[in-house]
Amino acid sequence: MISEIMKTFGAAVMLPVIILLLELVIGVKPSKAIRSAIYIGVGLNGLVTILNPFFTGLIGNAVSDMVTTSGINLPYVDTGWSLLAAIGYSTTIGALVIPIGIIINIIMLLLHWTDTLNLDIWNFWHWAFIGSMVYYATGSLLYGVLITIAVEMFLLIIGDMTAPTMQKFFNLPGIAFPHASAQSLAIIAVPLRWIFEKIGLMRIKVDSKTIRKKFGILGDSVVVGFIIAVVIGIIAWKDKLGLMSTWSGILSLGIGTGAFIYLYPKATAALLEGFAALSDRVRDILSKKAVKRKISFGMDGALTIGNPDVLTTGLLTMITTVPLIFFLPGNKFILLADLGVTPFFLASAAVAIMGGNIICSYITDVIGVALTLYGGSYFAPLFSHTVKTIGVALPNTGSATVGADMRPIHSIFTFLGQSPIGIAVAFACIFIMLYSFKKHPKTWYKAFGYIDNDSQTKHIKEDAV
Amino acid sequence: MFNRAKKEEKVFKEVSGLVVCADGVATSTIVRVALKEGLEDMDIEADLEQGRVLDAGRTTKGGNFDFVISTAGTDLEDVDIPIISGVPLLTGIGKDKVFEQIKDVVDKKYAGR
Repeated sequence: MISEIMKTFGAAVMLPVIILLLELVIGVKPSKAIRSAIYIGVGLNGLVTILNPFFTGLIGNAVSDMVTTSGINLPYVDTGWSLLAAIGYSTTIGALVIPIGIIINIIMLLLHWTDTLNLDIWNFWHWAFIGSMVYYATGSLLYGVLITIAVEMFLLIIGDMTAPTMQKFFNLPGIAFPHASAQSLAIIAVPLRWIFEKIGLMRIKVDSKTIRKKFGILGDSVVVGFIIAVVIGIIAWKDKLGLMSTWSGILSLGIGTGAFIYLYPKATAALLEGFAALSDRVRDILSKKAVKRKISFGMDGALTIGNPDVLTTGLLTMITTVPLIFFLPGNKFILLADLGVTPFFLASAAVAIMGGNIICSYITDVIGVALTLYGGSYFAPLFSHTVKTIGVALPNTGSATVGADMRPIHSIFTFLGQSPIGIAVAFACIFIMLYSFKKHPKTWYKAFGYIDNDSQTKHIKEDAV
Repeated sequence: MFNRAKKEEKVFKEVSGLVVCADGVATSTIVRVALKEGLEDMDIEADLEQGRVLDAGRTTKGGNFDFVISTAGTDLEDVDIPIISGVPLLTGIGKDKVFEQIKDVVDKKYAGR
């Protein structure tokens, strides 16, 4: 029933209506609520019916030609995370995720299973997106909802575990990051850090500012996107490079790609402007009722990206992504629109856990991007099926299709959500983690890179000797 | 009629700010909306632009901005105008201090006039 209505009206109409109702229920001023609903519609419309079809058609045709003429098997194209967010909020699960998410968080706070109150309502889309992918893969709303809850619980716990490290490193007291992209590498970073320490890599210090000065125009994702698109065009039409019209096509492809990378954040900003009224109100209600004990506020991982070490790690990884796309064995996914996003967000918790060490952070981040490329390759068919089922009309581009930028946490949970055993495994892991964390919090903090001041001074002394 | 003319006489001080976050999309939008509303109540007309934290130095170079407000750290390179943390506008704690800081910027700007 709900999905029937969703399909008939389309996301650009239904999401604003849902948000409007939600806002009126929790007491946002009607005029403000209506304005915010219209902005959500405008943002969604800009993304889903204007920008995404434009870009998918443009790059899709070139990629399709590349696959047929050169045999380079890279058929899946990333068109940016906003499409994922739009999909996440456009399904039945998307309609449920905000109330369910808040209720689960409150229950976990009351049971002392978490010390974080997540005020980052907008980023509930990650959970809704994973839940929606599972829902459209299995046809089971129950599986979708369960995995949505599992992702939230996992992120709240991992957010608590990394909080001391990240608060100290980024100088953001009282804030935790239960954010799916920022935490995607946290688990992987723990064993890596252990290895890096063993082989002495953690001791090699490189100054991030000197590296960053050397990037020049390659530090700009619009420029790097242009270059990748031009390379794709040259490979795709390599038999016709003598013709002037081919070069016109290649350069238009590059400029069009740059235009999309530049413009899609602007459309997304309209969507978020609509969301601001809702998240403001929820924050006011929740933080006023906030529990008496000391809690952290859950925030967007974006807060950490301005850190010089995160920026440098992200930039280095962004450049490395280009050869990785073409030469990583088995990769079928072109990370394009999110070039300036994914490497930076994946670096967030990883850099803090590595204590700002650029070389160790960079290796971790590159592994993260490689995993994202594999996740994108594996889940692209499911994603394009989901996009079509929801009723987003994208141009037909032959063998090339739109793919999702599946960061590690998105891939793992989408995979686990598709069978009852997987869901059971997810919850079992979550509860084992939770039990062990509550029993030995200090061990976990330390594993995630937290150094309390006593042992730090000791460390320095050892170094001096 | 008369009332209206009088209202228009009320001087709105103007200030222009660059709101930056990681990707120039998410948290910077929330901060921009909150700032715009809050400053209007203080009779300050704010011209706010959004951008990526990575480009902050380049964007502010032209001298078009009076301040930068950032949700992604305040240790920005090559920025020689005041940098204010926007995080309180996201958490709701310490909001007033942010507005005070902007008021200082505005007062300094209008001090010589």
